[in-house]
Amino acid sequence: MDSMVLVWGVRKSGTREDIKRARFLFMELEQAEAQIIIPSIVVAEFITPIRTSEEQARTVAAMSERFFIAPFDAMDAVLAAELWNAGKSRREMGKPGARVCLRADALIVATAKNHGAKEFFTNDDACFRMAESVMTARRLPNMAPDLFSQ
Amino acid sequence: MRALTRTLNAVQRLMEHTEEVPDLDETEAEQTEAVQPTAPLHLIGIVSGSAMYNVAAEDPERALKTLSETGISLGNPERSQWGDELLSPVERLSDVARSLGCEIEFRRPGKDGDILATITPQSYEMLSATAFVNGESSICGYLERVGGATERRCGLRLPNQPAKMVFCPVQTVELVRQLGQHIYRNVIVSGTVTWFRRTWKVKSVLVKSFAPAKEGSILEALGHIYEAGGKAWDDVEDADKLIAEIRGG
Repeated sequence: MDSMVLVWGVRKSGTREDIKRARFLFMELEQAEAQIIIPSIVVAEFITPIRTSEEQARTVAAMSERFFIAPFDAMDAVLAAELWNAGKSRREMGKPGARVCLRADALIVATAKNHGAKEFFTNDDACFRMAESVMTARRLPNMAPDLFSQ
Repeated sequence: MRALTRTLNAVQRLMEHTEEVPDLDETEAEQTEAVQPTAPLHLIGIVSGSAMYNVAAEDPERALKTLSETGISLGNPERSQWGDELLSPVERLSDVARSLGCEIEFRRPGKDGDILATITPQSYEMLSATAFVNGESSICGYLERVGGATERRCGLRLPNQPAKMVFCPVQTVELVRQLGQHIYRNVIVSGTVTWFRRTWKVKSVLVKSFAPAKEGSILEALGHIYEAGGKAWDDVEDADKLIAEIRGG
């Protein structure tokens, strides 16, 4: 999954709608007893605002308890390069930071794909389009997995 | 005779575009060697002392097309979309060609019929170099089989390619035994992964180590992540903006 999905799944303050939709997703994954792959690049992004290295280490350890933190390896680099090349033509590369953002998306999607992800969860349009070129891409759900969930 | 059976079986698979099921033990495997009654090709002529075999096809046009396309693909492996349904038969046919020290030619009917495709002992090796990419990695999967009478293997059902089990050699007997403790459970295997270059589907993994998959409550885990340090995100006013900044946007 992409960084923002994890952020909305963890945080307790912020846009209520995003938190609720992330909750719906994680409830669905819980019911399915899903294996969740967190690309290591996502981990790096997630722990960036955490202040101390001790807290960062504890956070990564807590993630590892239930999620598979997929390392970025050489073969992910090969796929990421392919995705980057394919993605160039689909994005406005003139925008500030577009290249760097494309690269980050490519690294994350390639890691998820190569380590066995069936579905990729993101709410970012550009990342969604890249992910759906190699697997099923999904956004945060609007509804709870069962009717009576809050 | 066994080489002929293997050859015909591989050709049938090529015609059917079906994938091989290599997990069976030897007894079962031999049973599958027999050509099925619904096979698209039928052997119609064996001449004593000749290595030329005539076959009839249920759908001759399609059979000729498949064979000629295979021949073209073998001539231009870089440009072809090699999937397992094509590679498995070619691997088998290459094995036969190697074991008999010959080339296998597919020709149109008639005495001087054109050659549609030629499989040499090197065909599969040549394709492997272009069809696959290999590298060290780790992959999530559901462990459905472990063991094997002749080889140490395990069968993994990968979440992103559930239609077909992926058969993976396992490096040591001890590892097979350890994997056996986790059958019918999710595992994360690590080792040398072979992907199809065009599709990035996994062909196999040489399993060198593994870890049990993560279990437990996902919602509780999110709570633990929050307490461990994830609560820092509560202080971030615009999380989307921060992620964009981290990515250089």
